[in-house]
Amino acid sequence: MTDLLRAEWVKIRSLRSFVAGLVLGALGVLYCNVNAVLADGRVARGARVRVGGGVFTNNAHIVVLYIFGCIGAMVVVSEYSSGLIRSTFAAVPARTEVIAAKSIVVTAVTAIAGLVTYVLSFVVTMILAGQHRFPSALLSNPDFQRAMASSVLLFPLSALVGLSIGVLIRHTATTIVTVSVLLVLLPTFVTSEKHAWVNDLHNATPFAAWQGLTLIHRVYLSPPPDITGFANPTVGGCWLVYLLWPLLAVVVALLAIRWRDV
Amino acid sequence: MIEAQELTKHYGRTTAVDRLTFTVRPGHVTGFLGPNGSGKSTTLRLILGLHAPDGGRVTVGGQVFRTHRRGLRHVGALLDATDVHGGRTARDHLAALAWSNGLPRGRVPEVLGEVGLDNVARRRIGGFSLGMKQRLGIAAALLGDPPVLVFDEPFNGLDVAGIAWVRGLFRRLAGEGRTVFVSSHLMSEMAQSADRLVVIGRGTLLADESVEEFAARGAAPSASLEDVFMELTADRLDYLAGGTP
Repeated sequence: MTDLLRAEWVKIRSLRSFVAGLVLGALGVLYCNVNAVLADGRVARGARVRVGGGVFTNNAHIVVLYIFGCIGAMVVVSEYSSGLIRSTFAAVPARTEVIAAKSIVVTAVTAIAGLVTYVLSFVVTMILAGQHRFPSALLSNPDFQRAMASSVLLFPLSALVGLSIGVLIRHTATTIVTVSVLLVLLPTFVTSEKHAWVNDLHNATPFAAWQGLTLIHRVYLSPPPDITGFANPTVGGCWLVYLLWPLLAVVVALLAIRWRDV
Repeated sequence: MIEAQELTKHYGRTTAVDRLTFTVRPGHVTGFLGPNGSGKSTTLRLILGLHAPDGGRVTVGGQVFRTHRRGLRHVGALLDATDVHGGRTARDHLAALAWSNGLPRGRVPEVLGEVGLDNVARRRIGGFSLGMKQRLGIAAALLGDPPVLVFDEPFNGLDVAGIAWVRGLFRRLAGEGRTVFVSSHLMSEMAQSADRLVVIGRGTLLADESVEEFAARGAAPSASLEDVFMELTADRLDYLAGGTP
């Protein structure tokens, strides 16, 4: 298996477009967060900006879901569209091992990208907010830690879901549209104040789970407004969503790759 | 050794390969011939386990290829020279293949040298001509030093010197006791490269014999291999310019 991990790592690092995608995604997140902090600052007219809050913005996470979903998808779709997949599977007939190796490498690379992006985002927003002391209290706050973890983990989650959709659909344009619909548009479309199951469905999307894990602690949402009377996401439920989406995605990809002609 | 037994593959209502039985022996260059759309590429994909047969089976060295975890040490294949990612360099493309099969890293410069691409190893494949991509595909097939080699239309896009080099390479590989299976739609090409022939038309077997035996099928003693081929496949053509032959 380590031989395949090395091979997939060589494939990923040797593509400029992949590296460019990672950088673009990171810059997109940074832009959204910096913009939010600056806007907060203007509103607050010089008041101390909540650094921890400024890092976790909805827009940044829409960027993560979309760009990293697409990056994950392109890891396989680029092989299908170029025909390389036939060379790959002729060299390694154990197809499930190839997809498993791709999933592991993509998880590692995007998780590191997420970590770097968030550390950078945090430092930059802190400087912009005029905080020069080391925020040890904030860093040791469990709510902040959870928000940070959920934000970083959204990178590999999105990439693995994208990778799976890529394995299933194989065509570039259709894959990208499906990734956007499933990860980005679905949470916006699936909302209801009338039906509990629609509300549950909404809570079961990665975006809603991220919001749950990140925003629950914020003062103006805690306790969360309960206007609908429906169950609000719980921390445990949100982590379950974080676990199930990539897990199901990878299992489906591993099963699908065995049976189809390439 | 490649052995196909009653190999069959359908795509929807189309039967691409129809109860195909043939044997490709080691120590020979075996030409795999048939008109456009006769099922050659499908057969090669079935051999390599890329497509699953609907009936029959095909083995390489006595084993169904897909049951191997790694393939390059068993079969080297060039299916389509354009099956590469244009954004990668030749070296990285081969390095990924070598790593995936646990082959020593030194094999990459070796095979690049063998096909004459060592001076463009760090160039992106997207800028390669078709002939250069054919050479790269041949390099990939040679990586694992396999006993069986399969090439689909390897002469496309090669210049005269390249064609002569590939012919020599195939002879050398066969001379080393390997099984060399080369598809082509050009009989004239195979006449100079192969010593055995497997000929198919519309997915069914038309001939599996030595080049001499094949030549002896000619109605006139002066008939060329190409004449025999045309005669044999006349009623198995799917694509005809002008309607009728």
